[in-house]
Amino acid sequence: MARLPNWARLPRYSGGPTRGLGQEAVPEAERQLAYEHQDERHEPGAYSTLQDAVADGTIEDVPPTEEELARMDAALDGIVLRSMTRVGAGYLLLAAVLGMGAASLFGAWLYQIFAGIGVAGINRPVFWGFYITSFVFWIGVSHSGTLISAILRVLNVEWRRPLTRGAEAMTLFSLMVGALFPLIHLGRVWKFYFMIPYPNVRELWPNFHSALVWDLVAILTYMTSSALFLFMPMIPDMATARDRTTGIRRRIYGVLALGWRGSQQQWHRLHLAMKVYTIVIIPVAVSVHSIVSWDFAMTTNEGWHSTIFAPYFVIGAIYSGVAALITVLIFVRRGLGLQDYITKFHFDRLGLILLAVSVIWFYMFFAQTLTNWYGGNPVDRELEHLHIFGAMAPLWWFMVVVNVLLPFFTLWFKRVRRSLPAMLVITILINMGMWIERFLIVVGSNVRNHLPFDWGDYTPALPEIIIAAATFAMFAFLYVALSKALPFVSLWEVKEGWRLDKWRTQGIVEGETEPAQEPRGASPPPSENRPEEVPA
Amino acid sequence: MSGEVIFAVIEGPEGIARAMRRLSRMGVSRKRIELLTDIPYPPSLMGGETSDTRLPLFTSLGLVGGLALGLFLSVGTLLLYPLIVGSQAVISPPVFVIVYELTILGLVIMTFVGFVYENRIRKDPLRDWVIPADIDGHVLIVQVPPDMVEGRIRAALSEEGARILPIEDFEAERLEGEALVIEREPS
Repeated sequence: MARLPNWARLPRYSGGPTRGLGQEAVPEAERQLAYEHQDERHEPGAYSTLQDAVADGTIEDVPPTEEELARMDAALDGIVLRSMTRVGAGYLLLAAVLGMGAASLFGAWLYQIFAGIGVAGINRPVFWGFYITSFVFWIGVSHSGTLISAILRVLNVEWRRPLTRGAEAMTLFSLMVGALFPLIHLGRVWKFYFMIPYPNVRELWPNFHSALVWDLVAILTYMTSSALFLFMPMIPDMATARDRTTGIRRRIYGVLALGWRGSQQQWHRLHLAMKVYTIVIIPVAVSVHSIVSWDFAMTTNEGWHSTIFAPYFVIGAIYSGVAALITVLIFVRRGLGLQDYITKFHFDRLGLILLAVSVIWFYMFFAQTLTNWYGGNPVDRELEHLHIFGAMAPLWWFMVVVNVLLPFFTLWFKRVRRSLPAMLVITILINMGMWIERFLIVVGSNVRNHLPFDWGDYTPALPEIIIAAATFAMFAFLYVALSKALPFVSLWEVKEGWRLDKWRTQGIVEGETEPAQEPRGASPPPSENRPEEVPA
Repeated sequence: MSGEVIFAVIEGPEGIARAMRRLSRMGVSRKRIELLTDIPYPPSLMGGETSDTRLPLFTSLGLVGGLALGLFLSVGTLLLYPLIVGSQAVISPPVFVIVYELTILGLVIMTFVGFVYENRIRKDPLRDWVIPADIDGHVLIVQVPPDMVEGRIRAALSEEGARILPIEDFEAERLEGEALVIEREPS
């Protein structure tokens, strides 16, 4: 029986070895082999054909040997670390364009600060417009990265390994972007300190009964937790980067590695800390978006004052977050040359999750809409009419098409889930729909609020449009910057995954089904090295 | 902990298992052995858990501290400066949102502080031994017990396939306190 060819396991390193980045560990013959089979490897369906052959039994999928694993390790280190150290013209151009986009956010904000909040389109009765819509949207996007990563970790899902870091980074970056909006929305941003409890002569403290103060505390907690959840498993990879780089990079990674050496004690502590974070971060993530929903639900406005708003927002956040994660991974996979680690299999699985979440989201959306409509409250009826038949109808119907019908009629098909262009289009459209959904919620209940004499309209002004649009550039810019600063794939987790795969079938020590272990509690065997036993 | 230190390079999990078993048979305490690996190996392969950590203590402190801070801010200050809003009692369910979030915040921060403390501050006799970055394999550090002979341990490890590192060959150099090259433990 033929053996699964080595080129099927080996990641691409046809670009040649890079001294000092671990690729010199790959023998010339192996590199040559990968180079010769380059076309074969990248031919559409090459891996599927091999998987079929393995399933048929015509090819034997023998787990890689220790030597092969060492080569795979070196190649992975090489690819990830090379992407961190090489800066090309294309990268600089992209970073410059995105950086300018991000700068336009601050430019427009600065203009608003000097000219006053009046330059924005928000005014009576719509005090929450594009800014709060974007705030809810970005907090929603932040939801999924950490949550997905934590849930997959808890469930010990093996295919999570190359994805978790990108997902966790997404949470942090979108939180950073989202957290700007309450400040922007404040207008007089220098009054922000009113939210912070501090002793003062007027003995005034923040109103802890206010959902807006909950927001501040919840976002602070979530941002801190997410940053640590991202950073902790990165420490061993920082040590790898420290050991493979030189100069200033080595010093920076040395500091970030926190003295990591890879001792068993350190691994034990890391696992312990990650266990704590993984368990704790799931309820924190749920609480954060619940609290964002309560900003609305604690009012008496029609369309907002609803008991299901918290779970409705949470599931909406997961929905837009999973879609955003897929979009981000498609770009990053291509940009960093990670095609052999983030494979179509991963998109297939994420597509299934997206499909399931879209159905749950539709259920919540339907329950919310049905309950409002069935109650017959005139303001509720008017709000529903505005959404379905009125001025907001084009947005509402677009949202229904892209968030309900599109995923339902496409993601059932494996072929679609494995097609990256299709997934890119679908996930971008879903997130457009989710932004619109937030807009309909935020602005809809303002223009048709519970005081009919105060109904009105809303048109976003230029600074609002620029700021809302620039956040996407800022989010992308943070990702682009990350790709050069930090290892985008968790090196040690992927390597561990390869070995676990092997150990499951072969045992850790070949020939032993159980790992080598001294019996616990057994008395120590007689020493063979006492001084008296040493020959004179 | 004093005495000679042996550095050896081991390749693969089988090598680790053989070396650890041999050291265990020789009566070398697990606390005198340090194994540096690039991925986490199962504790069973290493001859059992080495769970000498105070991390749970830090986590618990964070939990209690966060809870105390949350209660102080959202209950204590409200009792000191009552603010009646929305016909709600001064102490009513909303304050527990703050208590919950701050409890979690305390927990996650202190877990990290504990991790940094254990890695960087806490005394560990084997930690000051640092190794070159370019060694291909897992590095085993053995602090020779006072009642044992270094040569026998070296010989035993060599028999099990370990490559003994001649530490005298390495130039003693230290990079900003980071673990990069071999250096003698400060006395």
